[in-house]
Amino acid sequence: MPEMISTRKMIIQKAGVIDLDGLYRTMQRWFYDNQYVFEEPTSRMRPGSDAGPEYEWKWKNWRKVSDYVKYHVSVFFHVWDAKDFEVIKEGKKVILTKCRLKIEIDGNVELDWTKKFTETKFSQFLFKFYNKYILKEERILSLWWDELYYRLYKLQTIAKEYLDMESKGNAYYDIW
Amino acid sequence: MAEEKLIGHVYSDRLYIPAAEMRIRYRKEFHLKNFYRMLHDWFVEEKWVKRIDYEWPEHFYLLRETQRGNEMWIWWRFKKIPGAGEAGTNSYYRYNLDVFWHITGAKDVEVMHQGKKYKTQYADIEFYIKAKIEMDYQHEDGKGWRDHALLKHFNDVFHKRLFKPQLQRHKHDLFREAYRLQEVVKLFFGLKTYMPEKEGQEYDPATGIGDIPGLEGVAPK
Repeated sequence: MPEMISTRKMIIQKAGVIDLDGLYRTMQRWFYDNQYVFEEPTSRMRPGSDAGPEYEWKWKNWRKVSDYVKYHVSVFFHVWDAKDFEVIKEGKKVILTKCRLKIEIDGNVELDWTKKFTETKFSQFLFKFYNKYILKEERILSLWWDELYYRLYKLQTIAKEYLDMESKGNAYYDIW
Repeated sequence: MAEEKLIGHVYSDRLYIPAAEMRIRYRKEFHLKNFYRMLHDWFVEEKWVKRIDYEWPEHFYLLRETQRGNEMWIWWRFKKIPGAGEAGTNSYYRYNLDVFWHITGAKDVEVMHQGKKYKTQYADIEFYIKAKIEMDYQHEDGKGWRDHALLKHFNDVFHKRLFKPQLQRHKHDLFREAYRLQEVVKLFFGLKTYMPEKEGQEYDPATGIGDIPGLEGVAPK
């Protein structure tokens, strides 16, 4: 049966003035540039508090790597107390948002997404045998899990640079 | 027009590939009538339905009046045959687009917008979109491959193997169309979008309230 191996969850939190529109588009663009199928199954707005409305967006993205492996990336944005205001930046009007923001980035490597090894008990045995003795689990981790994790780390770096955080920068920029 | 089954889930005897599924939730003031009208026009323009009132596929409409406000359930089930009207229109698959509205706590309110008072509604709306490609759709009329003495033996092989690449292509087309609909709804509510071109927003004011810049005094009531 298809098996999902998850990467570590990455969380970014910021309270302050940000270009929320630009961040949203930049992160979405990353998925497009990296050939992911982009889906936004939930988009939600609530009145929130007197400080401002509350927004939620859930993204589910996936990409076929091979006939056996698929990458899934889910991103969850949660924004509280959002208040928009206009500023003039470099002679142009820009809409910035004062808010509290939380972004959760989660990745999964799916094995046997075509479900070729799910139909019979023998095929399920072959699936386990293939993963354990032929791929030896090292290949799963060192090749596919590794690639997904460091690519998501780059996505997190893009978000941190956009938010102008102190810890922006990526020591692993040359990996994958 | 084919009759829908009265007992059982509407999709229980159908072969379909899910293309897209999403929901939008919004709780604030917006003009409900303008929203309804805008979506009605969008579906007509995108050729999901003709501009004939009695053919509009609103399968269910519930209005419940409570002390907290009105509750509404609205189900729209659209069907479109890709390439309909052109030579070689297919008789095997079609696009299904199901739109479900759930509105709770709807109350009439007045808002001030750009120095003017407008009558509108305050409500919590959940807008659910499900897009599917249905294969062998003529089976509901008894004229499909599954009803033919010879073709029924080839139905599975055809849509799972022979015709699969074409169906996947159509699935992507329908996926894009469903997300364009999502874009229309999100732009109406003023939510964040990512598409490079705005889908129809130049025509309606945001949340249906107020005047379109340059057309003051002609806002729909």
